[in-house]
Amino acid sequence: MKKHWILSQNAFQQFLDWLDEGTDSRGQKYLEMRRRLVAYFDRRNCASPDELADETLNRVARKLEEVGRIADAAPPQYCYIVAKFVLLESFRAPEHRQTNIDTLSLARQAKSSLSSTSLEAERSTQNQRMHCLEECLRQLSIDDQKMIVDYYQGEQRSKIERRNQMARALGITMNALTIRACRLRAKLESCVRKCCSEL
Amino acid sequence: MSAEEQLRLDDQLVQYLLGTLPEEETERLDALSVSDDAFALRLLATENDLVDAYARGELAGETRNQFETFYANSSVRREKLAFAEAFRRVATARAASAAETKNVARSSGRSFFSIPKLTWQWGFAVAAFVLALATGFFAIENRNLRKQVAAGQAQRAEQWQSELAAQRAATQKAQEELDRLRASATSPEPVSVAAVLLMPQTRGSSPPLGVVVPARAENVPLALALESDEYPQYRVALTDPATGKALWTSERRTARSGAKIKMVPIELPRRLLRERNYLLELAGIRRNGSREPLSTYMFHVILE
Repeated sequence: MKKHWILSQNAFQQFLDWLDEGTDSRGQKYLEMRRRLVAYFDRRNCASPDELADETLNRVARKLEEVGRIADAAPPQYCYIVAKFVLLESFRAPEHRQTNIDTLSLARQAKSSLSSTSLEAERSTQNQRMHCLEECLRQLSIDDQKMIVDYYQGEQRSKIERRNQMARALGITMNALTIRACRLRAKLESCVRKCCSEL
Repeated sequence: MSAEEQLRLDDQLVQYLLGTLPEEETERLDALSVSDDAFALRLLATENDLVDAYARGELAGETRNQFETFYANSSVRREKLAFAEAFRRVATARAASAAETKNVARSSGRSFFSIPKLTWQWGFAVAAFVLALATGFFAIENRNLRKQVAAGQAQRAEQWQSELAAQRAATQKAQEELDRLRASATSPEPVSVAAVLLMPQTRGSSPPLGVVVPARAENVPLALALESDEYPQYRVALTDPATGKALWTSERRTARSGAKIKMVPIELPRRLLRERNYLLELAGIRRNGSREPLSTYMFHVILE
């Protein structure tokens, strides 16, 4: 393998095609895989889940460019195999040991910090976030706005029944409704993040 | 998958998200979270619901404790939590606003809002019919007139011309009225929830808001916007601004919350109203019963 490998446009396109497995998701599969990897590294308490996810995807794209095709495993499974190696490597890295100590300390303080300092800091930006959320909601169609507000409204028990009713009213399965709601929410989260960073 | 199995899986996913599963099980779910589409979706949906439940204060005991010490111990996940909190507030505000609109519409009575629309539609139709008749009539008359002019009946022609000019003016007026009705028919409802919401008068304020009162309405619902809600109760008096005479006084009212403002709802008896300006005087009532004049609201009645 080349030591200083840079992801070229061709290699990236080849990687996208490979992830799509014969379909054309217009980059959605890539974004979804990246989201899953970030969440995976984050649950494993890695300090930089975004960087590790990108490192994983880069390694897979590099492998793909070098060997032409990867037939050992389906794309998502192969990505996970590489991600596991990246995770183990990050555990061995010196900065991770420091991070672990910080994490332990943070974990002990998390409850109090949640209810005091960090929460107060969050509250100070909450108005900003709500403003952004209103803006982002307005960018959705009226139907989508209603759908996402209804879907996530209410307490646990009433929620299940209402979601069943929504799925029936829309003439779709619960699974399809869940996919739609999760996508809309992810879209909103991303929009709010972007909006807050621009304010 | 049965409902029971689904609940068991959901419970397991919550344990996974809270970091309480044994390592071997965690690794198995780690693999599925990246490589299995259906599992990844279910995990994401469960995570969203878990975060929402925390934001709404629905988590308790060990689950809440574990959420705070494990789940919230990451900037990525804290961002999800902050989003959930913002979403909860915005969704609650929207639901309250929708309920408010529904209540005001219901309390206003269907006929009050539906009759004007129907009346405009009928008005539009009648005006169109009149215009069509007038146009046909004038076309025929014009042709007759030309024949008479050609026949040398100059004097009579002059008379007809004069009448024709007057009728043309009337036609023009009818056309303008038709245009106005057409514009009204295509523009938003003249009387809507927003139209019956009266704002306090300010210096140099715009002309009084016109409130269309249908012939069949017994009461006219209005909502007086409050600048601030500092009193437990309010009372509203209807006065004639020309004479200053009080015509009607409401019962004691409490303020209601709208989407962004507080308001005092009242219903005026239609029989009191004529086609002119009226003034509503709002007073706050303190706990000891004393009154404090607060704001005035001017509106103009249009009777149907």
